[in-house]
Amino acid sequence: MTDPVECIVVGSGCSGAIAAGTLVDAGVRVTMLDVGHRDERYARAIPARDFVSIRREESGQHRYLIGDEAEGVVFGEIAEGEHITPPRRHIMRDVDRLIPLASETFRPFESLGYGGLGIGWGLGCWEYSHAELRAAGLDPAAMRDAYQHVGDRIGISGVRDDAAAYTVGDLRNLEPPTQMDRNHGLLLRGYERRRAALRRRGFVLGRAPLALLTEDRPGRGRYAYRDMDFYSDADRSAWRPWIAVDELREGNALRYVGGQLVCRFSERDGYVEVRALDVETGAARTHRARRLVLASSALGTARIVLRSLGDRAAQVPLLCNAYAYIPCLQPGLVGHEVEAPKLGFSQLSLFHDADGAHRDVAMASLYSYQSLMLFRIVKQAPIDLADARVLMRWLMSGFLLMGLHQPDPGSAARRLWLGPDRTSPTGDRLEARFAFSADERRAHQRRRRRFIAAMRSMGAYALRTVDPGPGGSIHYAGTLPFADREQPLALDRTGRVHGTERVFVADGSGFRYLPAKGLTFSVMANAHLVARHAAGRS
Amino acid sequence: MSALALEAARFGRYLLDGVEPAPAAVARYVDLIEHDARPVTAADASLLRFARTRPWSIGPIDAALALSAPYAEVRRRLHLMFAILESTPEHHDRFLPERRGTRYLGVVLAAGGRAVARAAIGIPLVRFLRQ
Repeated sequence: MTDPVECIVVGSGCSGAIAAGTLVDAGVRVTMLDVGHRDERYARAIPARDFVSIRREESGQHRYLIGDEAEGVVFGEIAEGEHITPPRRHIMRDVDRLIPLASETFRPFESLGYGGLGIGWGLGCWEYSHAELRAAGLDPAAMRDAYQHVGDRIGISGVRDDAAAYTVGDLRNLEPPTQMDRNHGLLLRGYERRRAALRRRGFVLGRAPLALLTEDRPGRGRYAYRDMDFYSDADRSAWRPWIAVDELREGNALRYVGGQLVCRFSERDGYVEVRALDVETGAARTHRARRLVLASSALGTARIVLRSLGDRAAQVPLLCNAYAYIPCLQPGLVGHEVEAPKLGFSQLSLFHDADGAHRDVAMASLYSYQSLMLFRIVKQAPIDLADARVLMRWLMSGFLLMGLHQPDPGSAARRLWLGPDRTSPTGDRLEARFAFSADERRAHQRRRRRFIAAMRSMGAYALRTVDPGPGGSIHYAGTLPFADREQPLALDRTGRVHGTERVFVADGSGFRYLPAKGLTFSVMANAHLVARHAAGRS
Repeated sequence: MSALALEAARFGRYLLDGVEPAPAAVARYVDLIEHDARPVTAADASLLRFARTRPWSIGPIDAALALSAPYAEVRRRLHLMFAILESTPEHHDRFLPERRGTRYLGVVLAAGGRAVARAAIGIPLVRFLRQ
């Protein structure tokens, strides 16, 4: 039997990539186990051109815009992941087969791709406030340093503006902000006119800090405003976890083993044994390490820990932000020509702080609509498609989409557990019960109405509200909450799984509260801290 | 011309307001539908046949289904053709937004009126064809 490796990191998503980088920096030899599906079909077909030029001139555009099998054309009721474009669809590959989840009330979005959910991450890097960090069970002082470390590593563009306390917090070394497109620019001007009244109502609008370079870095180029962000990672301007993992692999600092679905672990004398499934052959594989760092997202990590440490009746909590997206119209921009150059990512964030204490904060990310094309929206008009084309084409330049997240303080009504499933290669499936109480639903609706009113006062009028139901936010956490005392299915403050010596969790599983701000940046900062502890134990 | 190619050409012309679809778009539609193993119900097949052979009926059938069965097979195929045309460079000028003055509101209102008229014709037609 070979000697155990120093450390195994499970998962190549945002938390896995950051944890692996920190471990390598500390001199630890890391093996990364991952399923790691990639796009091997479209990436090379996408030219380094802007969206409008491609639409006008490229004869092969249908391949990556709608897909060789038209897999990017989703018809039917609004479905999870329907905005995922063909070059990104490997993000969802094999999820139903390999990591099934059965629930009437919870429809999450998971990934087994190389880079995990980070493949489609919107790049928003909002710092949690100290109040939010404390509620989540995280140490504000340590996290402040970790935010800076991760920010320096990935590169963040942003600005210290009206909303800085909600966005960039204490971050330094920001690259200049991106140029705003006309929809965001118009909204910001509306905000500046009504700023005092909006602030009295608890609203503040500011630039979204993005993991997107506006200055060149070694190996990565500044953003070129091609508006192809939903299709390609050209110039590596946008930070993606696979970029970091590729760099570690190129430097021989990390050994990557793909095609491995990690199922369970068990601690032995001086090492951890990790059982995995080879996803190609179905064969069982065993890996051994002195330390194990789980970074498979809150749901994936819960599966592994429940199989390894839970009994049949074990249940764990689950946090997920209530989410709705609200298409709005800016009448002043209707009937405008296609915009180029342009940025596809969210450029503004709107916050509502209920009492100014930075704890109960809801957040909306704002997006203009262009490169996802007309075919995704015409089907929603209750008229024939030929006339819908005329109408939507005219309206499209005035669309502004608001994705509204609300914080989740947790509840006993939101739980996860493992159930048997003979059709699953692991013999089980995750099951979930997720419900908001009547009071919570009323509070969510009240807040939605406030956001709609705030947008109206800035010149953007809500057309409808789409509630995809629990799970639609793609923000999951809290399955193994931090606990100061030793207790089963929980983490200590260093991210170590209680009841183990050598097993750490570097994703958002430990969070005891899920703020509305996108959690990715905080998960990465926490992963850095957990990896430092794991390195210390190696 | 095969039945599917005829369907593609007529759906394309309808979606492009009378403009002939590019041959590559027609070929792409035929290829995708031929490789689509999805079963078609008898009622949907009858609607498809009628729409294919009587191009004037495509708009009314589409408009009626948009209200009563927005995800029916005819609409799914029209939507697929829409996406194919939108990603065909020859037709970019029918899909990319253009600068429009206030007078263009008249065109939009006319399209709205046409949609209502199509639905008024299509609702009894679809009801009859689905019997």
